[in-house]
Amino acid sequence: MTNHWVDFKNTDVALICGSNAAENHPVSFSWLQEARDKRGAKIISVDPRFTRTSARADLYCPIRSGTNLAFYGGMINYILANDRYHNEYIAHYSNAASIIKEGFSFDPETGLFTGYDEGRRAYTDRTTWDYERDAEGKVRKDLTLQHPRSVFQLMKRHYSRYTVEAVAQTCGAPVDKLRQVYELFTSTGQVGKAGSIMYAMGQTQFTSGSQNVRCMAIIQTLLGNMGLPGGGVNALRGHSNVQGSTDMALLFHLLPGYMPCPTTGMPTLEAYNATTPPAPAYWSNRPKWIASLLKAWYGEAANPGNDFAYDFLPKAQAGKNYSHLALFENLYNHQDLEGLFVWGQNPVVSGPNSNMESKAVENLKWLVCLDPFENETSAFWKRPGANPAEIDTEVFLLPVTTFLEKEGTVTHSGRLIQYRWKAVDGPGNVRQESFILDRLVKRLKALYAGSDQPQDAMIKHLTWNYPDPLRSQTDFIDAVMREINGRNLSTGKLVPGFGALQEDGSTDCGNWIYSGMYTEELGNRTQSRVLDDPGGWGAHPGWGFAWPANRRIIYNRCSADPDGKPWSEERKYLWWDGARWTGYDVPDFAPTMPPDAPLGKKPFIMMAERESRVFAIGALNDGPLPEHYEPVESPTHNVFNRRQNNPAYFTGTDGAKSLGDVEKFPLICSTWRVCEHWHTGALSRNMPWLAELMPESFVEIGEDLARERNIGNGEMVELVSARGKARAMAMVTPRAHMFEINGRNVHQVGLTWHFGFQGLVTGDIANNLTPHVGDANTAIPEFKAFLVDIRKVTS
Amino acid sequence: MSRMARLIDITRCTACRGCQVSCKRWNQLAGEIGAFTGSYQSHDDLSPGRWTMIKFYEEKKPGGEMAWHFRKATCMHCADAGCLKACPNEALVREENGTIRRIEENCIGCGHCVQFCPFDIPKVDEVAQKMKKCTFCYDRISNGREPACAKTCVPRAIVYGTWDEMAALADERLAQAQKLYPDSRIYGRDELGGLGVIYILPDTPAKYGLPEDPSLPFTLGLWKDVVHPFGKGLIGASLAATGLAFIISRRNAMKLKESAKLEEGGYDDEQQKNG
Repeated sequence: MTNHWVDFKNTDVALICGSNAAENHPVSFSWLQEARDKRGAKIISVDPRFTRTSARADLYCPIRSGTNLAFYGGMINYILANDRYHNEYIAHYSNAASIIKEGFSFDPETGLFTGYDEGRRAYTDRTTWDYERDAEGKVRKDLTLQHPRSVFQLMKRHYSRYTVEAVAQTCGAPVDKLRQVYELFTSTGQVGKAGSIMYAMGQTQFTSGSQNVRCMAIIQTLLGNMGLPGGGVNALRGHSNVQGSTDMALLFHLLPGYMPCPTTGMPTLEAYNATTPPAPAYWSNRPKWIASLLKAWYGEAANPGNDFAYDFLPKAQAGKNYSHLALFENLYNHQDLEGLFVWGQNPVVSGPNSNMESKAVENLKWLVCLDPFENETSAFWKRPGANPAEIDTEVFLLPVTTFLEKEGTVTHSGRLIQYRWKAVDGPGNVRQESFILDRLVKRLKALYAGSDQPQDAMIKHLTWNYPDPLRSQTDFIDAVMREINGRNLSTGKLVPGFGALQEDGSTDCGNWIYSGMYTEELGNRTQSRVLDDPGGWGAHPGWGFAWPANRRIIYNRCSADPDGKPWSEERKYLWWDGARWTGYDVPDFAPTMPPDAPLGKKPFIMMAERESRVFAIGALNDGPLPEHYEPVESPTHNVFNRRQNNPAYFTGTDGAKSLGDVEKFPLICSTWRVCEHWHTGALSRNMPWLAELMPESFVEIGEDLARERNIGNGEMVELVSARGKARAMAMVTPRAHMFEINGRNVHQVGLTWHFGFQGLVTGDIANNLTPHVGDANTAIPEFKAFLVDIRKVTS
Repeated sequence: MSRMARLIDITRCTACRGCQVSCKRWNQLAGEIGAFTGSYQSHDDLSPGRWTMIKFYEEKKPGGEMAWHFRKATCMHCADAGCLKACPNEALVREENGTIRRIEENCIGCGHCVQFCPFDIPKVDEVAQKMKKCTFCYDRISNGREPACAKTCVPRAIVYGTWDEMAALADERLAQAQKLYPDSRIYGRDELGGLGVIYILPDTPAKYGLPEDPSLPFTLGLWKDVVHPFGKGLIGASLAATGLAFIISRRNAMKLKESAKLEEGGYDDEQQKNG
């Protein structure tokens, strides 16, 4: 999130789209209710079915799964065509006034931007997706926004196709509802108002998921909603610590703190640092952060003479994809992978095309699972339909503690790092993961201790001098947190923040964005529990520690006008007092840089141009402006351009082999969650108090479809896709819809994906149905829109 | 101690069912895994081991709009409590804080209270021969804590306080609720001398399974004032054969009435009054 949970109380309009916040993030509703009580805020729910969130919304608009881009394209058009944007804000704080190179174009006939190579299914030439520059290399701008090649005018032309009527046809939304949503949300473009967008996997898990998120950033920039209390682009993350897991780089393409993973194309530290974004982007400090990271990992073995042991880092093969989809395809095709550690995951239930992924696991020689319960992944060898006699995988199941039985930090969606103490001891011999990790590393280091092989140096020299976690978890975690925060290696003192990190090896730091969470002066700030709330905006700066630098709202310079005055008295949050930036939050800005300094009006400090990129310069694989493409499996044709699917979506080696068409699979299907179960259900389906609340897997189907197929409420049905089948109980309800899409009626169904064959309550795995294709940029699977057919189970 | 109450604001409930879990956790009641009900609702009704639950009400409005409301069903701890009046064995008492408290050792599971609760709350555990219902977390509130359900409620749909505070808060909440649901109303403040649960309802009580005008049958007073002393005397005489037979016959009569109720689709207190 750019903002945070408590900040929802400050909003005037909350747009909940691609999220079922009331069910899956109930705490958000505590704050939304406060916004409603105290500010008269309105809540909008946009969802394929009428959910518990919709039930508590002021305005509900149904849209077909997989049409977020059309929906948002329509919103952008509405903003631009009806002058709903915040003119001064976008002229100064975004690249809307910048002029794009001649030659850049988008052709609705092909559905492509310039630079596409059909053979390689990729935009191989993105040189025109760039600014026009003057002789000194400065970006040419037109602050009146009138230049025909200004980003603003390009967007105006691009989105003119997204009329409310055209969007309604693609989304299947009622025109009047759609217009009401656009009208209400864009009302937050007025000075003094703020609108928040809340989203979750209903935006990201599509072949165009990254572009959906881009749309939200564009809309919030156009409306001047970034950097203000009650505004922002707010991802409601699916797990209490999933923000922490991505911060610490449990992702295939990153190092901690969102630094890129080194590839074979960057064989030296110099080559790696050459990819650093140029100043004045704050990212230009990256060489300091990578040097400090390497010092944290390799200690004495990392020094300026050996590139800080950069050689020890494994290098991804340039151009090779290491995502979940690719990993399981490799495994399925007997490549590369011999063994697998699975912890905090249950991919047999959570991975797409589960039949294929479960089969792939059979190719492992060994599998180590860490979980409080024997879940579907550790029990894959006895799954329905498998023959254990034919599976040679050796499975080790290590029972581990649940979240209540261990201590440490979690980082929630609002980037807030909070320490939690253990409530109870785990049963029997159950261990905390840090203990298992500690012993694993120590064993590995012992095995490699005598090796002189260069490839073993990364393990041999890894620093691992923490107190024994068996003796004291608290001391172990304390030592790890100090290392993550970073130290001055000559004084041995903790650094006060990432501003103190150095490129010369004199500091170490395990994750630059977490730097400042543990300081000499303030101690372990994640344990701080001060409730003070200066300004009353809910920032609570003394409660825990929010990265970066304890900022509660990022880009908060935007809450003041270019001259540094608050845009309005109602939303006075951060301002220039003549000598420094002051207010109710840590400024996301050099605290003493006056507004009339050369960069004093440029709030987006991570970017080289220090502006919000409503036009994405060169960065995305599937175009600089979001454009609607249909999900890979779709019941209709793309009416916005002539290209049916995202031109660069991830297919891997096997994704395209099992796709279905609308003739055979006429229903749109999505997967979703319920409040009562958690992820793959490994915990909640083993907890009787939760299991009783949702005892069986169910599919929500509309009354029309039920009539057509003679399905009664509570009867068992079977869904079939090109990948597989899943049985579930039918919940016939007017909350599920039939959509009129481009003149044709199409039914939408959807089912919970929490079920599997282990636990107190069981059910078929919904991901038997989902396709093995992913987003063009992140390769996140397209879980949320695909085609199925349904039949009543009579035998 | 003042009379305490819960305000349950249905217009805020998101049906997360934290209250349902919290109740079971505090009272250490077992999970009861049943079959799919065809709805998000976990079970058809309360049970001896399920003292509160969220009931789901789905409604198609004219013009195609949807409404979906969620009502926490629980003992109302009424001022004029039918169960208490009906109990032949002083197994139910009214505490100063308003709790209609059940005394385990006095309860013989006769189920008379079941018949006279206008809200269908008490449930008899036929094996243990005990009636079970929400205790208003008597053990918590008499030690200065809020009930488990109120404590866990994230959108603050369940609020706990003195009856007077809740009765006053109801007005404030009603004004807020009416902005979103113009037909909202307060329920429980005036009913049966004031219930220990005051609801904010988005629409008419009937839409959420509540009687429009709950009342106790005339015969209940008769039982209490005339028949009961006689019955009580018999129990005092170590359940002499006649007395036991009397109670058993009451239970059988009640069961017949229960099945008749099922067939007819519900009680009609008016009928009883007129009859």
